[in-house]
Amino acid sequence: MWSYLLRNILQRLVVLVIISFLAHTVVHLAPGEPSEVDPSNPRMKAEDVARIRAAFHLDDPLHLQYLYWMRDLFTGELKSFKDSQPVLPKIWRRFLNSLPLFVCATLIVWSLSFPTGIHAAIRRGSLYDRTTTFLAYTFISIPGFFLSYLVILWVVNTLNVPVIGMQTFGMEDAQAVYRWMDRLWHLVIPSFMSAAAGIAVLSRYVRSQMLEVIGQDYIRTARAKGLPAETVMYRHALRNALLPFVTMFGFLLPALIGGSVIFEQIFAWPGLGRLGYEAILARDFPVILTLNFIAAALTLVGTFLSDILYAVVDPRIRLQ
Amino acid sequence: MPTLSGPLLTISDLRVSFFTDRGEAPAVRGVSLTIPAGQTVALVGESGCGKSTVALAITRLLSDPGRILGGQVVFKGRDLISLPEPALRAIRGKEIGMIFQEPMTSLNPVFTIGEQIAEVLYVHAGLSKRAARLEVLRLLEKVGIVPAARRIDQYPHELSGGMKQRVMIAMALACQPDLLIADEPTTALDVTVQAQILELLYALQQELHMAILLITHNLGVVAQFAQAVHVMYAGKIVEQADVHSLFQHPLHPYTRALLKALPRPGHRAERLAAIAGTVPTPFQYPPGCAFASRCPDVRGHCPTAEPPLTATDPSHKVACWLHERSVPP
Amino acid sequence: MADFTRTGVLAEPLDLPTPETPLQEVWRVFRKDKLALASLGVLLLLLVVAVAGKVVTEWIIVMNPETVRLPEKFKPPLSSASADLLLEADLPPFGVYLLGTDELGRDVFARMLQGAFVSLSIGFIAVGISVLIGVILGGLAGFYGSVTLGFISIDTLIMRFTDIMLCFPTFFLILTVVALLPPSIYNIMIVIGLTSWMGTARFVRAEFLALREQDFVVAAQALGLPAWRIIFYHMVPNAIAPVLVSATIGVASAILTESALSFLGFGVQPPYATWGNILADGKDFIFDAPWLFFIPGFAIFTVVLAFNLVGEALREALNPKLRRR
Repeated sequence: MWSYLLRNILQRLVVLVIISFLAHTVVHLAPGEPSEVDPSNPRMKAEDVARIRAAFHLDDPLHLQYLYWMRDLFTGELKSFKDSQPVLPKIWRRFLNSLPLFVCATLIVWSLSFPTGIHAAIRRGSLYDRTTTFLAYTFISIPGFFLSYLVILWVVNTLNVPVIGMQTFGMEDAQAVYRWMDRLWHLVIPSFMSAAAGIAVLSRYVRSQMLEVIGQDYIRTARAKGLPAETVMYRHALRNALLPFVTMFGFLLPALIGGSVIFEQIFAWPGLGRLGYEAILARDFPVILTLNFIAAALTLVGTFLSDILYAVVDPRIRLQ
Repeated sequence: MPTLSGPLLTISDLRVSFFTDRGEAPAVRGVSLTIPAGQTVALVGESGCGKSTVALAITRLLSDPGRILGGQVVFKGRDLISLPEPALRAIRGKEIGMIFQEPMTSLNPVFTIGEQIAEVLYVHAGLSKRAARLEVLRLLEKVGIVPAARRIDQYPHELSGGMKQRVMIAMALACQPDLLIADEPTTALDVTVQAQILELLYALQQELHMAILLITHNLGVVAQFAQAVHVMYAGKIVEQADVHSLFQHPLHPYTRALLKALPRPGHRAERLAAIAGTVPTPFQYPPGCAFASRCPDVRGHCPTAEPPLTATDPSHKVACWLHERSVPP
Repeated sequence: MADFTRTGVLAEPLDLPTPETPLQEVWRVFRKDKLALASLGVLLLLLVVAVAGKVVTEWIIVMNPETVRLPEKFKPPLSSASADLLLEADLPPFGVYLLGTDELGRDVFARMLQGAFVSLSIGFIAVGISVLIGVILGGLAGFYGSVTLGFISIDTLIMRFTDIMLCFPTFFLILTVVALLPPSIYNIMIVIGLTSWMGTARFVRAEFLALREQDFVVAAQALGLPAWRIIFYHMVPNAIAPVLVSATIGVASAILTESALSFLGFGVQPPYATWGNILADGKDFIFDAPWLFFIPGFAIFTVVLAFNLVGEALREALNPKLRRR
């Protein structure tokens, strides 16, 4: 068992290295210079440009730049091209801002999708099923920012829910309780909007998994044994239907990071997505690459945990 | 076991159809049969004739496009078709046990076999976990799964097909039901294992004085174990008799064709006598006898007039114009 | 005893229904979903509109989406053009702005027509690329999977590569590449295509792995048929079902991605109109000229919904296991 784990971890490390290399190559091969050292930037004098280029190793061959990046990343010395601030603390701060949004959105998605999907499967063809199906398709098909703006328009005028930023301006001086409530209030709309498409997709998937399991022979056996309907559904069927979802945990993270770019832009949320967006605009390679690297690393960790979890819950896999 | 005054199970004019998007497919078109207590009754027919549907309909285990349209299934004095769900559930697994054709997929892969057998005991016998576990060990040994203590905590995928079927039998018999419905219990198993499973069923039947409804397409099995046989074709019973009469004096052309089609050991280099033609599609059954298109003795009125099931003998009934006294107009 | 191997003599022949072809069966099941049928109609209409739009706005210019009419800006839909302020050539057809004008006085209807074609073509080409890559890689992995190149098998190599691609946050990757490359519609199509083939590859590989074991493939090999013929004539048609479904849904997803890119400013650049960038421009004028935001948004929603519904109905129709019979 340990050899399996070790091999798994090693494989993932190799993948991580390959990803970092690919990302590095792609980013550096693209045309366009970091704004600081762009020859057309009027604010920079020629000698400053030369100095900065030397400091950031921008004229060195590609593989050397990669090594420099890796070295600086792991020693914590990596500096942003945009403002020469250390990259890791910057990312960390923004990550802390994004975290409540991620956590809230994930909680909403997973806690709403399962009951909806399961209920729709058990009552297949009913009004509930047809309604939730239609709603799901609606949320999948509507552009995220379109829906967000619609909701913002409605919510700001009628319900007075805040939709900009993480906290109300000037709240820093208020008491802790009020500050925290304000933050929570600010979390509501962005997390629901981030979660909308996820709920739609996941609940459909839950429904189809449940339906497939309900059609299996062993469910018929369970009914033939005279078990009550709830036992058949929630013990026999659900246990089997839930298995694939364990593996989906790992892929949550890239989706969240990708989606956060849009939603953080709409709601002016100073998080990771926005950091990435600003870095792209400024061609801030270290930040872009590090974000990609961290996202990939987190995904690999996530899928690793999923693999382990899957082996735990599915007895058929355990013995291998 | 108290003796009943009448048969254990009586099916009267059972009708089941499948409502698909291609229309209605009548799978069971007025089937009647009785199962006396302690006896083995065989329901024979080729794939698609509706025999499995009859088995599922008895305890209302049919799934969606299938619906019971009419008829009665009287079990120990009560009609199962109209029984409310909770009462039916009390009978399923406790008084009527069922085993299915595909042992590979009939067991839940995420629970141990011990848990799955014990479940029946929790629900119907109210046993505690400890008492149930002991009983499960006893049952496993009885169905021939040894060493029981090692197997009880194993998962279905760790067992062979034959063992899985034994587990199914243990599950079905845990509460000592009066009737066991066995839907093609050996079809999916190897030949050597088939014999073992059948021997096991026979032994358990003797011990528990249990009736068995044996659904099969294997006439050899029928000859060995059944006391009464019902032959089904295209949703209807075309002949029913006690096993000796059926094999010695088959009356219906279909039955005779089935018996003729059995390969006989010792006769080499003979062409197998297949039955020409195919079963009519359920979406378009002819108004008359469904076997007419393949019958070597077909008469002019056969395709249009439905022959009724009539007795030529106290224990032998057949639905065929060849054996009717009155000819339809 | 009668000879049972001969058929009996019948009074009249029986009328057996002719079995339907797989295509007929798929269509029959598909037809049952009324919503999907309606969506198919919408998509066909969209195709017509897109082609007509391209013709009308670029080839035989009846309406010019690029005409700037500053005095006419922010006119609501169905308002008539002020003939006295404009040149003859700048007047919209019938003298009416069907969907109003935008901040530069451009006819929104004309822009939407032009955008229809562009948005659709982005969707189709991006999906085309992703399907091509997915089928090739998935097919290779499934068919030649056990062949080893040195120490690693083709299957493992391709699957690891797929896993690597799945680890990238897709939208972030697209954004990065599109932002760093010179802005061009082709870049967007190619990038979306290059980052969405993974699902198709997995489906195709799974199907091929299953198909390869089936008897008809072994029979074909026994007959000495060359591998490429077995793959393309025999296996691909059987594996095509999930690919078709994910392609349909993929077009919807590509259109949404394009609109998200436009929202962030990295989509197709002016003067080309796509529904995505019309929507993105419109968001600045939600209060002053709400039609600039709602019309493209609603259009994208309808089209994407139609693709999704058709895709799902196709999935039901093509998969015998999922069907309700």
